[in-house]
Amino acid sequence: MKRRVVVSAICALAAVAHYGAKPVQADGYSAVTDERLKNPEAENWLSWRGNYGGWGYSSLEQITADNVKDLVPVWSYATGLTEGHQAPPIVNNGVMFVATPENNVIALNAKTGTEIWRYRRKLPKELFQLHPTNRGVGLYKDRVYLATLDACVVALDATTGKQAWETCIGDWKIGEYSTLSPLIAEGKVISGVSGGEFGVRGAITALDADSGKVAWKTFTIPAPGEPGSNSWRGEDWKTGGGSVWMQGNYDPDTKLAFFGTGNGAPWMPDTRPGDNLYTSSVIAIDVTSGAIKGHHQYHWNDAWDWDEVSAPLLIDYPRDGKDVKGLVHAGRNGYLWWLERSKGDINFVGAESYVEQNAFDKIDKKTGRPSYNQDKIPLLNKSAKFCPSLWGGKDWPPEAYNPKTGMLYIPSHINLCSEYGGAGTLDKLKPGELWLSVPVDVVFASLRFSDKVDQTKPVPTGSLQAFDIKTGKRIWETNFNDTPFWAPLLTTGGNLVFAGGTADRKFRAMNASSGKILWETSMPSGVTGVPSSYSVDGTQYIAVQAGWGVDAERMHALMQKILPADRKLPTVPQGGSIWVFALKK
Amino acid sequence: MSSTKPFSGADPASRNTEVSLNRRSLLSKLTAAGGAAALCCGQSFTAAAETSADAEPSGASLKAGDHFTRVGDGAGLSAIRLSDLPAGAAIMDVMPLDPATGKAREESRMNAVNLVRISNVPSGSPLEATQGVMAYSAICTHKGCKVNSWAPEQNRWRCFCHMSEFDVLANGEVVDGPATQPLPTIPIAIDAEGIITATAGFSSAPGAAD
Ligand code: FES
Repeated sequence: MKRRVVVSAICALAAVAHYGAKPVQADGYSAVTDERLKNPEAENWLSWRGNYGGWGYSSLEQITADNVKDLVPVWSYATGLTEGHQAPPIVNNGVMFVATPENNVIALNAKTGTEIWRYRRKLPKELFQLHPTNRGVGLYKDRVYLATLDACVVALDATTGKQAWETCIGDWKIGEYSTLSPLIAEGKVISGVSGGEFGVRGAITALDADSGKVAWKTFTIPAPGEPGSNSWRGEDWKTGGGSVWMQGNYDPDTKLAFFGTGNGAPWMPDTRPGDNLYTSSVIAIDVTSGAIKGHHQYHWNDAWDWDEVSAPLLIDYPRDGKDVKGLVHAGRNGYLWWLERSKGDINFVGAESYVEQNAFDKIDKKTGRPSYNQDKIPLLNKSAKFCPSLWGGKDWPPEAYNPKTGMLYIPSHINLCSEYGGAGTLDKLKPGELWLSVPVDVVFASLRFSDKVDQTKPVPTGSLQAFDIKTGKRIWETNFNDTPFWAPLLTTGGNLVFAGGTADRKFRAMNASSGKILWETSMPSGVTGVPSSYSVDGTQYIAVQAGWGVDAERMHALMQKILPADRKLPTVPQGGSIWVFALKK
Repeated sequence: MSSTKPFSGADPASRNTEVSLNRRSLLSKLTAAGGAAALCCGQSFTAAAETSADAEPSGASLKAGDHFTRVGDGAGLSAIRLSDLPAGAAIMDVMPLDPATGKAREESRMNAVNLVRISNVPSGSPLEATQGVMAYSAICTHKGCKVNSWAPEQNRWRCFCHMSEFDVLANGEVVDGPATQPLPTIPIAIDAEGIITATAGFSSAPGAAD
């Protein structure tokens, strides 16, 4: 009798297991149209920041500041890969697409976590990966688009994962690679290449979404004779950097895409005298023609590795009694930039530092051009200590804007500085080899605490800051001590901000109005993934990837060197997983 | 929300579609040679592709008897000698030099080598035979960057890309950072003319192992 009970229990388990492993019963895939990308439904997360403005905002409000304490995991999924899992789970009517390191794409049932298909790119064996990561897929019609580490774009069938086309837009052998999520606009897939540390010349390329044919290619650094070319000396423009690390944001009214650009290459500014347009800038690109219609250079002739990788957020805000059609950017250079967009030009409105910043002397009130403190500029033959560190006030992890609270949230590093200088002479560039102009030994030992903090006590190094979009003033900050804080943000209609990014592997929810931590949970690895939110059958979900790596790992290594023995960071294990949370039923 | 398309689901057949172009051409070669049962069901089809792809050579072609040389510095291809390496110093990013042809084996970056001569060789150590000189693959086993920093105080190679560190006195074992596999070594000897010479190939295939 006993025995029979056991057997039937096993049968029951087997039946459940079989049911769980069945193919997803989606009865159709909803094509992603231009219209849907312009006005994404609340239940979906169709692009890396959820909308063209780059807000990182979900209007869903089932999960609120009051009930978030009841958030529990619904399903999780091991990717089987290591390194930085940074892409948001992107969701279209119950189907989730997740990009991982090694350029895998996994399609899953967003409700159950059942795998539908998986694409694995065969990367070249000799490829070197300075940033082994990916920031997400793009969706259009019935296809999924992925930018790859060997500088290609692939189009996959959304229902099968089968590759429809592949177009390579750069040459990985010279150090060009893509980590961004492609921007989909007006039937084009818009991607770009980075590789400033290898002396490449950044470029943005638009491909026809149907055929993969190149529609246009625009370099972020002008060739001789083009506007801005007189900001370069001689041949320096050919290896001048201006990497394209991150997806652009898009204004469908003007058909302009806004991309942030990387710093000048190599790092030391006296190797490339001049303003070095359009490095460390935002550029406005006409998506129809690829023409650069406007730009704002946040800082000229960069000396600090302050790539301005993130595109500004399209947020309209009032200033001096006027409504400004705005662009807002928390700069790696430590300033919060308030700009105005138009049909072409980008106008300067205002800028103020949001972290300790001692490299800029002042900002020109009219143009926004900074002047520099000379003793804070490292040169080929001169070392300098400067704040913020080479990772800046905010690196790639995106800010978020919540129209309900009217606040902009910034995941920032505070109280961290760098000290380095050049190698004395500039080596000849060997294509595909690191070309920094700063000895790597020096970079290994370059992180410093700010002189202003008492290092004998735990030092706040991660700071989640909230700014009122109307006044430009800081409303609250929530700080984390002695930790890297690589925390892409999600904010929701339920008055919440979600963030991970710390070395203790926590993923947290904060009250969006006050910054108070309301919920947190331990994850298998550190969370540097972009969180997203969606709903299926009336249930709101929060989704994020755990998987520590890349710059969070680098900062962890350098921070270990400056922390005293009794405050060393915990080990952060590697290994990626997708997590989906909902309210306890 | 215009067109709709049915999902094919997670049946094995749909997995065939994961095969990338490279693999597909590899498979067509296999099929032509009567190799893998490419017409069979999805699972074994994919498995065959994985195995073949993994068996690809890493590209490294360093051989026993090779010397080492700096390339691309305009100095000509001279073999590196013991006398070029003071104790405690390293010469990074050199290439194997085929003594028969006088040419560097530059066809693959997987051949890149770092040479080091440690100070204070303990007596009785096998390192006495090479007067402290050792040769390691310069390709980081994490994600394939060049290992480009030498920390003499700790006898460690360091890779800038993600800060992995390898112990030179422990056969290149990982002591820090995200790498999990040791750096391949190259057994060497110092010949009668003082030239640093490989006595065998890499201890394991160079390249990213993770
Ligand atoms: S490639 Fe060397 S540590 Fe990652």
